[in-house]
Amino acid sequence: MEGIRKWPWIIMLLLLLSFISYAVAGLFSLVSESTYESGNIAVIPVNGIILFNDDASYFTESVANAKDIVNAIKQADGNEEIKAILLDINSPGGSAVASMEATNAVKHANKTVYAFIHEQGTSGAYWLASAAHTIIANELALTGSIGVISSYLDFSGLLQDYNVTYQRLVAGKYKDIGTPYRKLSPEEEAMLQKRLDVIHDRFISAVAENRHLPKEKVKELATGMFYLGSEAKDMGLVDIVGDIDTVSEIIKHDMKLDEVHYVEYKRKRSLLDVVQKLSTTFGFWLGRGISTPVISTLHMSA
Amino acid sequence: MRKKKELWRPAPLWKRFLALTIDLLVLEFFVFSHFEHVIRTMLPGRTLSAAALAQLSFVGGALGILVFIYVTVLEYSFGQTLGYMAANIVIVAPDSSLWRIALSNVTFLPFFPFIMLWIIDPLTLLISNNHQRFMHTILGINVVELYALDEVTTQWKV
Repeated sequence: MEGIRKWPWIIMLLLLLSFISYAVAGLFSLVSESTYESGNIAVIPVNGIILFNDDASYFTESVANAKDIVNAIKQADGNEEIKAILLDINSPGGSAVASMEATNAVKHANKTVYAFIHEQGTSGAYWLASAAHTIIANELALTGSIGVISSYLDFSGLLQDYNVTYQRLVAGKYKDIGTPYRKLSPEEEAMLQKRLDVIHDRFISAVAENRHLPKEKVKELATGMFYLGSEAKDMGLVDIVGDIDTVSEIIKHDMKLDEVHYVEYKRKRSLLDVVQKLSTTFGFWLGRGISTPVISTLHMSA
Repeated sequence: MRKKKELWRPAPLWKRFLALTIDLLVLEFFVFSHFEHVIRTMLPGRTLSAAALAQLSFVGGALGILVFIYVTVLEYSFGQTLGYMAANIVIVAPDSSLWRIALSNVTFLPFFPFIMLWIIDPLTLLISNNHQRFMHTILGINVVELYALDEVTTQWKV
C-alpha cells in the first residue's frame, strides 16, 4: 500500500486501537476492587440480606455479601487516608454465620467503626451493628429483633390431599430433618429448637458483650421483637438517634476532623459478572423452555 | 549525467530511538492514556493487595497485547510503524509472512518467556554491529534506512 492509500488504514487502525483500549480500560475499572476515590471516612453499605453469596442480587432481592463486607472493612482498615469506618446499614439480617463473620471483621478492625441504621438494622444486621463503637439510628428505623428463625412451610398435608406420598429413603435417622414433605416428630422439633436456642444465646452474648450490657437485660429484650430507633436508644441498644448529618457531626467531633469526606467501599460488579449472570439465567430459562415441550411430548406419547 | 543510486544500510541508533520515541508518543495518545485512570486507582497510597497486583498484571498484559498489535499490523502492512515512517527507516524481511513479523514482536508481550527478551533484545540492538534486535537477527529481519549515492554516469557507458 503506497502513498495516500495507506493513511486511511493507519488512521482506522489507530482509532480501532483507541476504541479497544478504551473498552478494555473501562472493563478493568469495573472489575478493579480498589477503585475508591479519595476520602477520609469509608462508607461500607450493608443493604439487603446478609449472606455469603450474592447470586440472588441481580434480579431479585438485594443481598449484602458478607465476604464483600469483610473485604471492604479490611481494605478501609489498611488505608492510611481513612480515619474511620461507617457501616451504612439497611438490612433485615440474614445468615447467622455470615452476620457473625462480618461482626468479627468489625471487631478486629483497628479503626473506629460507626454503624448508622438508616431504615432497618434488625437481627443479623443488628448483630453486626452492635460490634461498632457507636451506633446511630434514625428515630423511626427498625432495629433489634434479637432472635433466630428457622421456620419453613410444611407441605405434607397438601401432598396428602393430592394423594402424593413422600417416599422416605434415608441412611441416617435425621438425614431428612426439616424436609417440607413430612411433619417433624416431637423429638426432631426439640432437637432443632435446641440448636436455635444455642444460636440465640450466642447472639445475646455477643450483643451483651459488644454493647457492654448485662446479659440478662439483653435476654429480656431478645424476644425477636423489633424496636424503633428512639425505643432502642432508651434500651441501650443504640447510642444516638439522628440522621446522616448527625453521623457527620459525631464523626467530625470524635475524630477531630475539619471535614468529613465519605468514600464508598463497595465491590464494583464487573461487566463480566453481569454478562455471566445473564447468560446463566438465559441458559436456565432456555433449558427449561426446551425441556418443557419435550417432557409434554413424552407424556403425551406414553 | 548525474543519477541517484538507492541503497539500504542498517538504520543508525539515533533513528531507532527517534522512531521509538514517536511510537511511544502515538501509543500514549491512542492507547496508554485510556489506562491512566485505572492504573492510578490501582496504585493509591496504601499497601498493594494481591488482588490489585493481579489486576495490574492483567492491565500490563492488555497493554502489551495492544502494543504488539500496533507494531505487528503496521510492520506487516507497510513495513513501518509511524515512528519508522517519521525516522525514514523500514524493515526488510526475507519474505512478507505475518508469522515472521509477529514472532519478531513477541518482545512486546509481557508474558514468560518473552519478558527475557526485554533485556536480550535492546542489549543486542546496542552492541551489535548493525544495531538489530535479537529477534530481528534470528528471524533475518533488518531495520534499514534508505540512502542515495550519487553516481556519475555517462550516456556512452550505459
